[in-house]
Amino acid sequence: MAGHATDKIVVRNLNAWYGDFQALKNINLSIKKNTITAILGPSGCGKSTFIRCLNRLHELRSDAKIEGEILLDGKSVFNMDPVEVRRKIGMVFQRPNPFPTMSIYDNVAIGLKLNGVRDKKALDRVVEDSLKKAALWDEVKDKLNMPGTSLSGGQQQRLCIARAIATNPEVILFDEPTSALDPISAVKIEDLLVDLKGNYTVVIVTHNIQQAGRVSDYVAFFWMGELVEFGKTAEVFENPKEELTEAYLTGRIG
Amino acid sequence: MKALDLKLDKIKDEILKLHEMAKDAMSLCLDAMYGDEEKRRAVSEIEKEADVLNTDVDNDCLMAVALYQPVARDLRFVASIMRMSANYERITDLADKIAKFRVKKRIGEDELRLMQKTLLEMFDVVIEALEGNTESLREKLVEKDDLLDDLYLKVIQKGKEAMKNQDDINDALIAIFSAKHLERSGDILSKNGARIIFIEEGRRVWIK
Repeated sequence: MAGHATDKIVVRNLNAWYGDFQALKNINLSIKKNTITAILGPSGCGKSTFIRCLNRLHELRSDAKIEGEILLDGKSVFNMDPVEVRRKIGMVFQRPNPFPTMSIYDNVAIGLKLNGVRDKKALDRVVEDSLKKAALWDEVKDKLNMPGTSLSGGQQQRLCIARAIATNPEVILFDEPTSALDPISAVKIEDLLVDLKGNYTVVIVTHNIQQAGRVSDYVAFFWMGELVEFGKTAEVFENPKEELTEAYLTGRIG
Repeated sequence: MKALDLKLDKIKDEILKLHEMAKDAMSLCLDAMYGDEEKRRAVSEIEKEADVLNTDVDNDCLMAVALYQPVARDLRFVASIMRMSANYERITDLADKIAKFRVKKRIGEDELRLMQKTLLEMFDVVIEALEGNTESLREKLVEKDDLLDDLYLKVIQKGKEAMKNQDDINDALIAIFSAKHLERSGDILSKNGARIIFIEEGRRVWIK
């Protein structure tokens, strides 16, 4: 059965394990195109495992096992080249991780270079465009040859977002992208997320309930590997259907 | 979240107090209108205190939002209490308006007294709901609100008849205005009832 026309990713009966430990239990949900979906839940609930399944990072672990279906535009990611899946579904991690030996320019261009792009003008164009989309261009345009690590934490995270954008993904996964940042840098990333959804489908894992409320269109609440509730953020935040969601959102369990 | 719970408990105590103040004002206002000066002063005093308490509730709710970013039931509670508080303050205003009237002739007194009694029963229904029992809240309030509407029409009728006598026009108008204020208070209380259903059940209902 095909998903809805606006569904970018459809997950059906997804189960994931680390050795004998089952981290995800029968997850079913659809992520809509050009929306921000927040994955909420306490530590160890399976949030990060879930998004790592989406771009097939989970299976890189030797003890990992995965069952179920993940469809990207109606096609199973498990029938696609994993490298292609990761190009289409980019990822930004919790801690900014620019390549330490590379310049700002090369940090953004590396994905294209690895894909064989050598045309300097084309690379320049993509680097500038990606840095602009990541709201970093104005701050770094005069120091593109400086090391990526010379930037502040918030700038480094935006550099990583530019790097993810440069390969022209369709979906960008964010794994707690602001948890290592100061509040001002975090707000810049949140603003950026909202801008990005015009061109990309965004999935963000966050511990921060208020952040999920501020930026997301949809929210999925995970608890001990299960998807407890999924719905429009405004509805879930105002009137969650499940008691467990209510208790978590109001801080009465954790 | 203990800090938020403490804040919400404080807000709840305040709204219960406002509820009682509005009820007291309504229970005194007709006697005041019929000449009891002590009750007139008491209603005026309640109205002033309600203004202050409403401001306190408003401020506490804003602080709760700013400091604790409540969601789900907590959010519904805070957002609704801000409205309910203003509604109670409005009821004390209406009671004060009635208390400030002075009449020579008690036109439609039976109907006005019955409206007052019905309104006080509505307060009891609402307080029960505020304390957690929302069973049949909507139905109970609708029934009493309909009764208030009927009685209001009766007072208008009696007022119209009384106006045939030139000397009674002023008292007839006061009777009609008082009935209007009592009827309006019933509407406002019903809105508070709807807000309690929203807090407890997340449903938006219309009570009228």
